[in-house]
Amino acid sequence: MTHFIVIYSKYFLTLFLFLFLLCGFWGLRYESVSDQKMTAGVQSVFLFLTQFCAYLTIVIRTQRMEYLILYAFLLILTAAVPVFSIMLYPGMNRILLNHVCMMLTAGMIVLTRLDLSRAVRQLVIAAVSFVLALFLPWIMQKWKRMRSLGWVYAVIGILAIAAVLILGQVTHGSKISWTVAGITFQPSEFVKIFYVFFIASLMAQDTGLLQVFLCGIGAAAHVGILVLSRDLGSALIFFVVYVLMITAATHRIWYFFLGTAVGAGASAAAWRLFSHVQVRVQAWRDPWSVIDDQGYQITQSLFAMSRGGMFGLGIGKGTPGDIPYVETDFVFSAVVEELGMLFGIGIVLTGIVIFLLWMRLACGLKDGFYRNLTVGFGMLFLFQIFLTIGGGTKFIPSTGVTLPLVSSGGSSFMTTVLIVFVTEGIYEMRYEEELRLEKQRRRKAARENV
Amino acid sequence: MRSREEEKRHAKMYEREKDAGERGSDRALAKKRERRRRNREIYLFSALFLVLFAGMFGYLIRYETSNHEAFFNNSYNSQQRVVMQENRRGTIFSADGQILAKSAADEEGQETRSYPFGEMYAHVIGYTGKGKTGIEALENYMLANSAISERKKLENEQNGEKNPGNDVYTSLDSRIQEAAYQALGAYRGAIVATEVKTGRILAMVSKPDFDPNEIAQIWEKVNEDTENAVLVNRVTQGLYPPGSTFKIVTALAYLRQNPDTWRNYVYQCGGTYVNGENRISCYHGSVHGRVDFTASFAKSCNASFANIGMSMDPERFQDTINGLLFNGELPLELPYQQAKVALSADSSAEDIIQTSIGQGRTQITPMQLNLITSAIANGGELMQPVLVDRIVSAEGRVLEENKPSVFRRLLTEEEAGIMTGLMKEVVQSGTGRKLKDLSYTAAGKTGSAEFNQVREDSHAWFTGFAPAEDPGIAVTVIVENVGSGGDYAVPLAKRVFDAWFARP
Repeated sequence: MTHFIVIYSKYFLTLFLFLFLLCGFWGLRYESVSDQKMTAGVQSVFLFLTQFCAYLTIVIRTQRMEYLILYAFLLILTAAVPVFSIMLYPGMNRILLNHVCMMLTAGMIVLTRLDLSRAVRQLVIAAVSFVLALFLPWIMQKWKRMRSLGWVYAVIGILAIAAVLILGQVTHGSKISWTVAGITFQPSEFVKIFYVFFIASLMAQDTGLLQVFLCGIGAAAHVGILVLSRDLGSALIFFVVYVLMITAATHRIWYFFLGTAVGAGASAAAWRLFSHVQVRVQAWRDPWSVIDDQGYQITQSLFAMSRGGMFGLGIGKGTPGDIPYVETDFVFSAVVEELGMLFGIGIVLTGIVIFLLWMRLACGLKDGFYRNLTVGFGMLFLFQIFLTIGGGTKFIPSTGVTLPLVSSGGSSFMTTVLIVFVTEGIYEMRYEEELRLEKQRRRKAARENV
Repeated sequence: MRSREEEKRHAKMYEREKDAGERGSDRALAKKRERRRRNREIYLFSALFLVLFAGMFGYLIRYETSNHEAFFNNSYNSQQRVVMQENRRGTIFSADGQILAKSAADEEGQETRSYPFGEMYAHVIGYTGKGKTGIEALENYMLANSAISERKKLENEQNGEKNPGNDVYTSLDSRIQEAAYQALGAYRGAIVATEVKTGRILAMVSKPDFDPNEIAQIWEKVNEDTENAVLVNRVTQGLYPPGSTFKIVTALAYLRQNPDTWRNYVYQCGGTYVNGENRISCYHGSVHGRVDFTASFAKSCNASFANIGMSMDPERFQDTINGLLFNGELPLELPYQQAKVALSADSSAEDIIQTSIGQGRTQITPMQLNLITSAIANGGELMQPVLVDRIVSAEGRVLEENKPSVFRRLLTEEEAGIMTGLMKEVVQSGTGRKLKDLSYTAAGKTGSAEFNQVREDSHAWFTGFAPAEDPGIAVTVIVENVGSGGDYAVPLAKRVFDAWFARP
């Protein structure tokens, strides 16, 4: 029996993930959260099967019970999050929560195997993030002024990243983190939330040329500081989110083309100006000629994925530790090495379903602010996935961006969970609005009958 | 908290409303259109992202799977070290079942690779330890990995045993390899023999050689010795002037340019051909007298071939040269040197004359000459050369099998027939007479390639096949720095032919 499990678990993991995804794509059919309960329920079964299968393999292979405890906590957390969420807010999208839990699970499987202490930390951060995030929908319902704060968000964001630029520590050549009371923060992660709020708020007030320009000044300030901090990956994300958000809000498609042109120009300029950009471009174009230094990380990533092949080497059978910073920037390569390319692609598809759920939500929203928020967060989320996977697979130059919800890293994880719960708040409000309208209609109908 | 009933009712109401909308009153339709217009950008961005991701997934799968073996062999990849701890390297066999390379572990689990035939297969099988060469490098991926069942692997892992790697069955025939090896004796040079109808390489010998069992001990010595270059596989990497063997190419070009009149060709050989300042003499001052096309070829008359070369359109000549795998890639997996010949309308008379008789800057590897010879023997079709017949897992499962396949047609059947006739005549009445009057009829072409302007030394060449009526084996021989092909290379080829005909 144990033979059977160790040998075939990788195939079952892939199978469960794709059944899970099938439910995810099926769930996209439903506009209303009330219709998708059944699908969400079935889907969570596949989530738990995936977890069970992975941790069973780990425990059998290592014969260590610590992993069992970790599994228990992961199981409890991923079971409790949807239960508590729905109890508090019946209008939440459960499929969305399932997808968040699946990405967390994939990250946990790899981290458990890479570095147990990191895995434990990740789980604690996840728990804290979910607890904090559960307040968000309530805050959004109560505090309606949220939509009109506009520049306040920008000021907070700019101050935070400027403070890091001046006071922060250098990590891998970029000034991005900040240590308070023993905990290291990456403010540029949290600032993403404020940044999207800022643009959403401004664009909800007015979509005129002047407003777009003013908004652009705020965005440029963010991007500029990030460039000075040498965090070019984040700078690129902030820029792209601005362009996509204003285009979607104003319905003027030429902003997109203009933005693309400006972005291309800025990239070329960055390539000319910064030696570290040239290094990354070189490592992308021909990593083999610089395999001893700049190309080392990417080639190790390519090797790891090649070792994995379609179905992976099996949990614990690979050597993902060869890749420098595998837990953060290159976690996808570790997933592919041990769980296979199909599983890796499945995890990315899990993220894509989150994006599509949000786009579906945005399309049905009449309120401009919430619509802008949802669009902004969706673009932010998916573009970040694109950058990290593209960088690790040599599809595009590496930008040192983490894979949301999967990579080890507290700030990034918490930020994404907060974003998810902001959109869950929107689901909840839409649901209550529907309910209110429905009540009105029934009252009216009752009156007419009388 | 709302009650369940309430929620259900709400859901039903919502459904009804949606149905009504879909049934399509004009207002609902307009609403739909309006919504589509409002969300145009969202649709566009979603589609754009999906295309980007689809491209990325496609790229990932293609890039990783197509480079899988190359990545495995890269020394920066830890995979090979991991695999080596888990598996014992597979065995390499000859086609007749002899072990050419095998791995065994001593009591401490230290694995050693041994080559029972020592120097005999040094170049073609290669070595391990100081990097890898030959088949050891070519099939490294398959030899290092084990395709036994997952269940068995797990059992081995639990028992602390290594998995047996996959075994490689080569096309090499130990009897022919040995004959070639012994024939070459103490000479420097190379012999390659292939099976005409299948393209299977039966023997590949290069000398001077080395003992792959002792590669670690002799490593420094052989690397310092650039003059002997013992590590070079002369069959595929040795570039030699082809000498008169190139007349095969020149003759074919002439046939193609004079399909109706070549039989009428006559030349009066006085031992020297003169064109302006260029003088070409026949080998060791021979005078051939009145020769037709067949006799020119059989007797390897330089003067006549210089004359033939000068009579041709150099560009069409170049087309024939390119058609015989010059200036392009060979269908070969082993590392090889590419022969280059370049003629054009602007080529000088000297270049054309020198090229026509295989001297000057023209160089070729024995392997390429053997491929051309096999194509002629096989009615014009070149078979894809095969060095590995099949790869089999330790449990007997065939993982890879190289069935004979046509690589490309180099000559028409008619051209091949004429060339065979010419090459038969070389044996009957020309420079290859040492192969005459045997139990089989051979066909071929000799060459004596002068590589040094000052001294009168030459490399001895022979390339040919037997039996001429129904060709089975093609053999190419080069012996460095000994004299004429007819005297030194032909007898060696004969020993290889004999070994082939003596097979049970």
